[in-house]
Amino acid sequence: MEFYSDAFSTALKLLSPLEGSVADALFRSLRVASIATLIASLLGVPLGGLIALAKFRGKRLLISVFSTLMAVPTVVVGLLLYGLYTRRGLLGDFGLLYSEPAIITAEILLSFPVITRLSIAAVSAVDLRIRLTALTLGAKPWQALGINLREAITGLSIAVITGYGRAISEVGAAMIVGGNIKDRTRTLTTAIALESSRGEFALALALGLLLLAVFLILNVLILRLQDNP
Amino acid sequence: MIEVRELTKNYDGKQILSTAEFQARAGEITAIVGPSAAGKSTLMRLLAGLELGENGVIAFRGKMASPAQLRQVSSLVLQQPVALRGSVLFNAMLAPRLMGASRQDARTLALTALKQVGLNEITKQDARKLSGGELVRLALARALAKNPELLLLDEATANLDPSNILRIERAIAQAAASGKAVVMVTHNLPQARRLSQSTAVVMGGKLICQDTTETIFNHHPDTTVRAFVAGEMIF
Repeated sequence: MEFYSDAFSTALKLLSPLEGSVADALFRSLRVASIATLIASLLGVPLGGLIALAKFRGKRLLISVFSTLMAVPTVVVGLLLYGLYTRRGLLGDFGLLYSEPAIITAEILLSFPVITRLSIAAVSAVDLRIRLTALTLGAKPWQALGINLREAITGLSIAVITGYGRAISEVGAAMIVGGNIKDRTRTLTTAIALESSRGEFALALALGLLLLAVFLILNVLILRLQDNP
Repeated sequence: MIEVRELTKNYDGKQILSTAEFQARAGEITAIVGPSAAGKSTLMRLLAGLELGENGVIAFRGKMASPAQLRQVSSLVLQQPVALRGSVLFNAMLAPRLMGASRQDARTLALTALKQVGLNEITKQDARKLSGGELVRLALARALAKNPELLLLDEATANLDPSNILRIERAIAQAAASGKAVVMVTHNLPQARRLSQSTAVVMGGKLICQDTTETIFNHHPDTTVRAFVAGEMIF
């Protein structure tokens, strides 16, 4: 117990005021995860809605694929992208390795299946009569999809929050394609991994607390938005 | 206004509806009566363009109409309507907004329709908190705000109290008087007799006849039809 109390008191001291490199890692984490979640949501939410409403052969198989991809290890995504971004890789000429865009693409790949699969579930749960009502009131099929998405706002919020959680908390891919370079690609999670390996548990725990606090604030904000769409 | 010829609908390879001939005229109320699970709601969804028949033709104003065209000119009040997230006014404004009306025009159309069904005093209320009767009235207002040429009602007054039934019947009669073709499915035979000018009888997945309401209820030659409209247990 002494270990935890020491770690917490040190953590609070370190966080007040926010030390420069900690602030840098925090804002990078937020920026990278927000951009990745935004892109993954713009793709995943409508796609999930379409898959939920459309009738086509192989639908169950496609849903199973997304369910499986939700659990893909972050390190595997990191390695796949490393193969693309490395100098001899297909995208090696763009010089993306060890950059923020590299981490963003990794986080998109991680959160996209989560957001899509949960969006499928959210839209599938909407009453079928909503779509019929929209169509009979003159909605074009894409407008009916929009109305269905609006009705599924609670489930879709959870999909986006969960996708954001997957993006901001991942460490494996960010470490491999980001390189954990101080002031350039270090995120909160890679900083936690680094400090833990150095034996700086208090700082590592402080960073973990910071991550939790940020996520708590975001959740409260999103839930408030959800109540007043 | 709308005519159906030799229309059939199958589910899982089994025919569930066959309609040799059916029509509904502008300015008239056409009732569709028949026992439960006879195919009445299927016929309504076909007329509304929400489903596609296997064979046959649906013609609107003398021209063959696709489901998408039928959806543009009709509005269906579902058997068990559902409210969308948002206020009563938001729900009523939806159809005109979808049809391309400006926010101000949509608001005007919605308020007129809400007044017709007596919901103009609760426009800001959450639509999902309405009572059963109010919800049906909202569904009717939502349909009327679209200003459809063809108004379809699938058992709109089932399980409602007399005051709600009266309000809905008045709005339906008003819609027909304004030139719309109104088609209503009902289990309430006195209501069909009271409101409609034409009545079609659907039994066992087949539209067996359509005639003036007076003929159907008073001197139709078919003994099954006579027994059904007399309220006899024919099954």
